[in-house]
Amino acid sequence: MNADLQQLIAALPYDDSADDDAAALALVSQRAIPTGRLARLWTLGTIQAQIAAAYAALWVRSLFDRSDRHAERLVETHMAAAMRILGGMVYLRGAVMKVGQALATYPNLVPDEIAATLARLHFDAPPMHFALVREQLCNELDRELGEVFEEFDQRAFAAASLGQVHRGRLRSGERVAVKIQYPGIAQTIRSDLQNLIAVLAPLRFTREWENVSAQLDEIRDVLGAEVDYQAEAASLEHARSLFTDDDGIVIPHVYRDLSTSRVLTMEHIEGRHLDAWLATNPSQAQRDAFGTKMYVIALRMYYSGRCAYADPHPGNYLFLDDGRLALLDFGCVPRYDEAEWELLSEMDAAFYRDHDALRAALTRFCDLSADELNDESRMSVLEESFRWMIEPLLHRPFDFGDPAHLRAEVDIVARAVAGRYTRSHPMQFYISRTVLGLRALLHRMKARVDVRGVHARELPAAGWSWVDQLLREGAEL
Amino acid sequence: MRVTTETKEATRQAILDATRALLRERGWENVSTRDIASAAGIANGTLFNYFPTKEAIVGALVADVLEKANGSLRDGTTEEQLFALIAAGLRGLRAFRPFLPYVIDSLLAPSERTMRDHETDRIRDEHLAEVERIVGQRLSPMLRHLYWSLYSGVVTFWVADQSTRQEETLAFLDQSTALFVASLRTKLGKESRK
Repeated sequence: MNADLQQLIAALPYDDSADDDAAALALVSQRAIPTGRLARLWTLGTIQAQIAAAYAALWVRSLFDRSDRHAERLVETHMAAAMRILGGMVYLRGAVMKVGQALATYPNLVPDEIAATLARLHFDAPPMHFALVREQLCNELDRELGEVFEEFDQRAFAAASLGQVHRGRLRSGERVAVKIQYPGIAQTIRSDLQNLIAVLAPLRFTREWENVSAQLDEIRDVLGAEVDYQAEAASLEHARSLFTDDDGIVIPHVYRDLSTSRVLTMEHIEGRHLDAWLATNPSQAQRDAFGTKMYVIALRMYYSGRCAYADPHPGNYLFLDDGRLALLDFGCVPRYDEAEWELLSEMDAAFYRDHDALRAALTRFCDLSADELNDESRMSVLEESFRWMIEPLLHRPFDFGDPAHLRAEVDIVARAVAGRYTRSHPMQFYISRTVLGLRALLHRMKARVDVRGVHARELPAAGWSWVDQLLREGAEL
Repeated sequence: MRVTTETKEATRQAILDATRALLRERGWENVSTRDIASAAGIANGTLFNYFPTKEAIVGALVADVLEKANGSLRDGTTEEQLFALIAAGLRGLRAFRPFLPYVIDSLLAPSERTMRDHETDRIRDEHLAEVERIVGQRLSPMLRHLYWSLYSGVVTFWVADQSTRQEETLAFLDQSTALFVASLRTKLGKESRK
């Protein structure tokens, strides 16, 4: 190498945040998100790798009985090779290699970290300065900024998945929030997911491949919708159609003519985020009222909208001074098709109508074999998990402020991971995220909610025949 | 007869205007220097007093566009101003994008030692002067080289970018400017400042 080239390389900034194995493990668990702009840019793409690593390790470790050490090692070797391939991809830099190495070196350390990673699966885009925002916005809208906006804040007021949000005022006077996506990120995610699926190919000979591949398809679909702001606009409008003024729930209006797959222009709503609202020291009645609205949102979207609000992140809710609750982000709203809806019907029916049907429903939902059905340890974890789901229906009202409820679920998840009972229907991933996220939020609010009452009001819209029959029989839901 | 500076400038401009119009109309391969001379109303031999090749004419067109981009943003961070400078240049060059592949290599040749003509010197010198104004320091030869490599990389990427509205170029440009500004903070940048 000649001296010039060495000097040039020395001039390149070096990201030393992933320098040792400990840092690599921290990356897997997303504990350390680099905050410098350059570091963030270099992480773009490695987040996909973190998911790859997380999934890979989880699956590898859950695929085999302990007795089958040879086969386990074989797949781990495949995975190590796959990680090296991943590391060579354009967007995936050194950190990935480190993750792969860490996995190969300390396979026993990983599962708990992975459970945490899965629960927080999301993408971060690097922050954009205004020159880039303007360029992206003008390209997308095919107009100069001044032709559309009377005012436009140069500073972002919120980070969004894959981009950031700026406030502005249209020439027609309306105040808007404009979400702008980091350029090119959609394609990056699409191709990295494609690569991920290719890399996981060695797993296709294993018993769990079908489930793995179905879960990947589900994640790809939902992420695909998340990177396409047109899809988010459709979800926003779908959700908006489910609520009336009486609900006290606000979902922003979308300006379709100022929205593209990379830009989403919405009505701007003034309100407080969770922490700011909690700082006002709200009364118990206010906590309960907002908590109930959150439950109404989740169940209305579920039973009437046949979709899940699968990203109940605190930043997505706004507490309005007049008592209304606003919902802002609709990037992650999976919808259910007819077959899925029937399957979900069985789970509800197991609670409302026929307790003996639970095992049959679980068998279908988790795709259990006869052996697995006879495995009492597995079945008791699954049943406990179901009981945890329905626990708030059994107390009127249910006090989410009690930490025992969340702790119980952490314990169940830990046992499910330890026993490798995590296989489930692909939609379960987002259902868990919906339910856990919502309950964690209600816990922070210390809200009491008559969950049974909300269910009774929302369930009839599900369109399930057994519900109609129960109602005809005069049963109380 | 003495040719005045004014006449010279007018002829030069006529050649540039004719080239721009012809290229837009017929594309790179179907325009000859003869066509340009005739459209500009001058003799073929006269044209060569101004520009040695067709590439050089496009070089002058590009240099004019890039000159207009200078000073496009006078506030904001160093990184933001550099981004705006390059983005404004690319926006100006949009009309030339179809035939830039034919000239881009020679126009942006990364080494100062390759054979160059007046226009490529002008593009490089004016652009780098603007960069030095933005970063507030003279760039050492090494930093000039680093900047020019990144810059020509971005332009070359953009010329071939097939993504929707060339959005991948925006990401690439963003990452390149971040990289360059970060390199100003390394040992090399500090040495250059002395």
